[in-house]
Amino acid sequence: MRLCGIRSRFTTVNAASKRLRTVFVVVPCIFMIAMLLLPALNGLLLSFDHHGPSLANYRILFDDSMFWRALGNNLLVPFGSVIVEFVLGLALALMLTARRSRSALIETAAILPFAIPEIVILTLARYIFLPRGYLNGALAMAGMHALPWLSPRSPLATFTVILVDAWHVTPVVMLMLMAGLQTIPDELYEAARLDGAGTFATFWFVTIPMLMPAIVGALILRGIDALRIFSTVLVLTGPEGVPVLSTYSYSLWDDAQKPHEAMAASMILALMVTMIGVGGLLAARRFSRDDGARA
Amino acid sequence: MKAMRAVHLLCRSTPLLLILLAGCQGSPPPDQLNIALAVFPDEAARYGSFVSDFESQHHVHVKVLAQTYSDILQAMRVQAGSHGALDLVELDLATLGEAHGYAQPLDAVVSPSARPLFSKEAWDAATIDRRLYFVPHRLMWQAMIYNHVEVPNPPATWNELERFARDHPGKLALKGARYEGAICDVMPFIWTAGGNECTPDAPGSIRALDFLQQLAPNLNDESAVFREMSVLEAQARGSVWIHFNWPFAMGYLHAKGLAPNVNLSAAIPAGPDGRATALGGGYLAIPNSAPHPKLAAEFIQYLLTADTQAKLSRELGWYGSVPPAPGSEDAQLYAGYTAMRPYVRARPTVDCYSDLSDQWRRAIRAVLFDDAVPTSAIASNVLNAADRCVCAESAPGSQL
Repeated sequence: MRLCGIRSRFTTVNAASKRLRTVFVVVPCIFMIAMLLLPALNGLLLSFDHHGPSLANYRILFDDSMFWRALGNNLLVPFGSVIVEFVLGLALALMLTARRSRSALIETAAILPFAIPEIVILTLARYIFLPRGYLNGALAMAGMHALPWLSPRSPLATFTVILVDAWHVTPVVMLMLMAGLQTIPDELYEAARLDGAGTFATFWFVTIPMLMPAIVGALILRGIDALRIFSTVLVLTGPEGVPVLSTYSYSLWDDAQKPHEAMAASMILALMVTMIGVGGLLAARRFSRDDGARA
Repeated sequence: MKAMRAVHLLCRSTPLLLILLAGCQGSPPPDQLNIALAVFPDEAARYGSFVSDFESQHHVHVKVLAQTYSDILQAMRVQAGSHGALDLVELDLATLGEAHGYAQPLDAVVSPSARPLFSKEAWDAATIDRRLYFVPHRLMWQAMIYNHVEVPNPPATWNELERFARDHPGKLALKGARYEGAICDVMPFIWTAGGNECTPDAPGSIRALDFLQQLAPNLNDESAVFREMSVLEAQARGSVWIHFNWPFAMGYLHAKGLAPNVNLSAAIPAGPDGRATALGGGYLAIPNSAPHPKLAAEFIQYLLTADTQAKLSRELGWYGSVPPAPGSEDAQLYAGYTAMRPYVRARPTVDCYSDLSDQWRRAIRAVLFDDAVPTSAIASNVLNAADRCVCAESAPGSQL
């Protein structure tokens, strides 16, 4: 009888645990379906709806020169931004991990741009780069000519957007790379020193290969994220200055009141992010497989 | 045991969640009037105190929801297909053509005695298929804002404007972003050259675009992205000396101590056919499925009295039916708006307006910033939209 009681209690707990597991699976699934899948499907249908099923919304986009500018910028700006972030992030990570006595002040200063709310840092950046902004003021004081940092449709405005976007997000890359640097055993550096390797050789043949998984992870993560650039462009130049697909789509929806065309532009962006993201992940998987085989 | 407790907690909280969800779908309280206005939150608070008389007279609570025009229109679309909570909505003049399908006719609500408060032009813009669907809430129009320290004699004609642009490159700005503001800046040029938005290839339209193309090389660089606020900030910084804007711009400059001592308003330079400015602002509508249409109608009748209009102008500083008192500081600040009052003209209120306007914006940008020939910019952008769009021509301006 006693045994039966234990078994019965065990069965009850087991069933409850199963129910709980079901709940923990079903609730997120419902959430995903309601908040992601259904709106995405609805968006897809809207993008093909132009007084009935049609490709007209996409055709209208392809006839619009601003769409092509937005598409080009949506590749150029993230590419430039990720490169700048990587170079700066790696330099900062190396500098901070190389220091024997780590200064909280320097680390905080390095992370600060990411800790400040995005709208604050972008407004600040706008005041810096405006035609009569702080930067041109400083240039004038140094006896130099003012530069049109945010002049619409100029290469300089694209450069400014890249710089500001990178400035805001570099700390993320830096933290990821710092985490990677801390996993490299000191013995490897010691062995390299004993073998007579110089600073550059140590960096190139020890640090970079050992850091590669962190580099690949950071580049993929930030690369995908950078493709979704929106607020930096909107605050600095407006939707028309350096258009990207998200601001172009927003402008179609808000200014032109054309939700179907806006959705078509969003679908193209989603497709681009998915393709590049999947491509990046496949490359990363291949890299780790090759790396494993070499090891 | 922890797992059991979690399951119980979930089971207990589910009915609560269902009640909350059901509450969201419930009808609003009978003594509450929900009004969606395109205002900033601080303006919504001031509007809340402005309507206190109405609240005490009718023993109701007026809830003001601050939204953007596009969000209000979207909410109206959604409410048209189901039940909703909005009793009154404020819509941008440019969207009335589309919105009238979601609004209740107001012919019975607006008494003949209320009509003289606004011009025929303002009422005509709210009348579609001979039925009145909207009432003017806060009307405004554009004037030229100029830095009188740098430009003591503001240009009064197209020729003078062209000379100013040539002599001071980068100091004249247009709102050239691809949005409705570009239409409000450019259409007065088209109208005063004898063209209009519905006949884009008319000689007057082309003549105005030719003139704008002459101005283009000397416009401020940021004209391609300027909107109301950004061009106003540029004027406040001194990057721009002349631009066209709505009355709120003078209030903004005044609050910053930059008007009247630095900036003033003046009439928009006259073209070959005289002057013109675009009528803008918000109109009120009662959505088809408003929960309290009778109360909403009473609120409209409350608004359409001379006393309330005076109070609206005094307490909120909104333009409407009441011009500033002569000799007052406002009269000095808004002199340009007073001067433009006889030349106000509405854009056509037609269903297809947003499409027509979007094509015009593309043509305007092509002419101003891509150096396109006006005739080809019109042919490749606007002609098809104008053919699709059947629009009644608006009158050439009238006294507000």
